[in-house]
This record gives sequence, C-alpha cells and structure tokens, in this order.
Amino acid sequence: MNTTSATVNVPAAVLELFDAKPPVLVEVRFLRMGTPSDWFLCDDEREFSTVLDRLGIGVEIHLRSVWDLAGIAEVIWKR
Amino acid sequence: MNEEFLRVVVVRRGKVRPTEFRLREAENGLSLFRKVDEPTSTEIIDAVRAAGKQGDLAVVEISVKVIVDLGLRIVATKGGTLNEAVNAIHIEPRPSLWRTIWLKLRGRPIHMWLNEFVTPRLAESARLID
Repeated sequence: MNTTSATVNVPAAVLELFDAKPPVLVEVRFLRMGTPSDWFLCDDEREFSTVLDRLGIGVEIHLRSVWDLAGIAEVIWKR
Repeated sequence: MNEEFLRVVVVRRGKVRPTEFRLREAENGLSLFRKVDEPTSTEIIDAVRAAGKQGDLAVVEISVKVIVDLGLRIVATKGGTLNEAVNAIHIEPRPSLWRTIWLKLRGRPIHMWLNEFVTPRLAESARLID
C-alpha cells in the first residue's frame, strides 16, 4: 500500500495503473444508494486523490485505463 | 396504487438524463427508495451526498403503477448509506421470476434487459420533486 491522499491508503494495483497507462477512467459506484455512478477522468494520482478525498464509506471504485477500455484490465476497489 | 418511489439524480441544465436510470452489470434491479414522511427526500439526498456523490442533486418520483405495469416485482433490500433510516426504505424493482428464468435460458444478463426495456419507461415517467 502506498499513500496518495493524506487520509487514504491506495492499493498498489491502482498506483500501477496510473504509472503504466494514464489517463484512467474512474467510476464511483454508490451501491444500493438509489443513485447512478459518478465518473471522472484522472491524468495522475494527484487528480485521483482529490476524487478520493470526497468519498465516504460504502462506495466501490472501478478504474480502467482509457487505452484498455474494452479489455479486462479493470481494478476494483471497495471502500 | 398511489405510492411512489424515489431516486437521487444529478440535474444538468435543468434536465434529468435517461442514463440516471441505467443499471450496471451484475445488478438485478434499479436501486430506489420508498417515498415516506420520514426520512424525507432531503435526508435521502444528504445520505447519498455523504457517500461522496457529486453534482446538483435532486430527487425524482416514479409511480409504483409504472413499475407494476412493467411486470416488475418489488424487493425490499437494505440500502448502502450510513443512514439506517434511509437504508430501511430501500427497494429494488426486479424482473419477475419467470422473466428471470426466461432471460437465463437465453443467456441474457438481467441488467441488459432492464436497460433496454425498463430504463426508457422509468426515465420517461420520472418526475422531479422540489
């Protein structure tokens, strides 16, 4: 685990995705919260950390490189 | 059958887009809340915002009649917010059991069927409330 945000430990797979294939399309799913996903396009970890800082508990984050949208290289992170 | 269900949506330029009612893969029903006196729609929005949902949030009403007319069954499931009162009024309209079997036999994911046949009707009937 590395630290991108001041308060959140980011899984290594997420950091690797930003290192290898930016930009990254980030989908925040609000599971059973009666609302659709939020979407963000992040160029780097710093932009991603500003998204993370606003999130609460119970969300599921799906990350995929824009260079691999049709592939299986999706990182899923539940908080 | 005057009961109504609620969904939290983002209003963009005064409009609610049909994509607000789409399901993701592996979802079997659209996430909604029952409309009750307590918790209020404001409390529902606050609970969703507390999870990090962004944008100009509002609530839309969907008539139960529309959902029943679409042949969906209403399943009470626990919500995912940090507000237990809000979680207690969470429901999901899902395909009937025979429709679920029919879809399975054809190898058709439930969310795809819902997005094709149900989402447009729900989006059309949804009404923004103040």
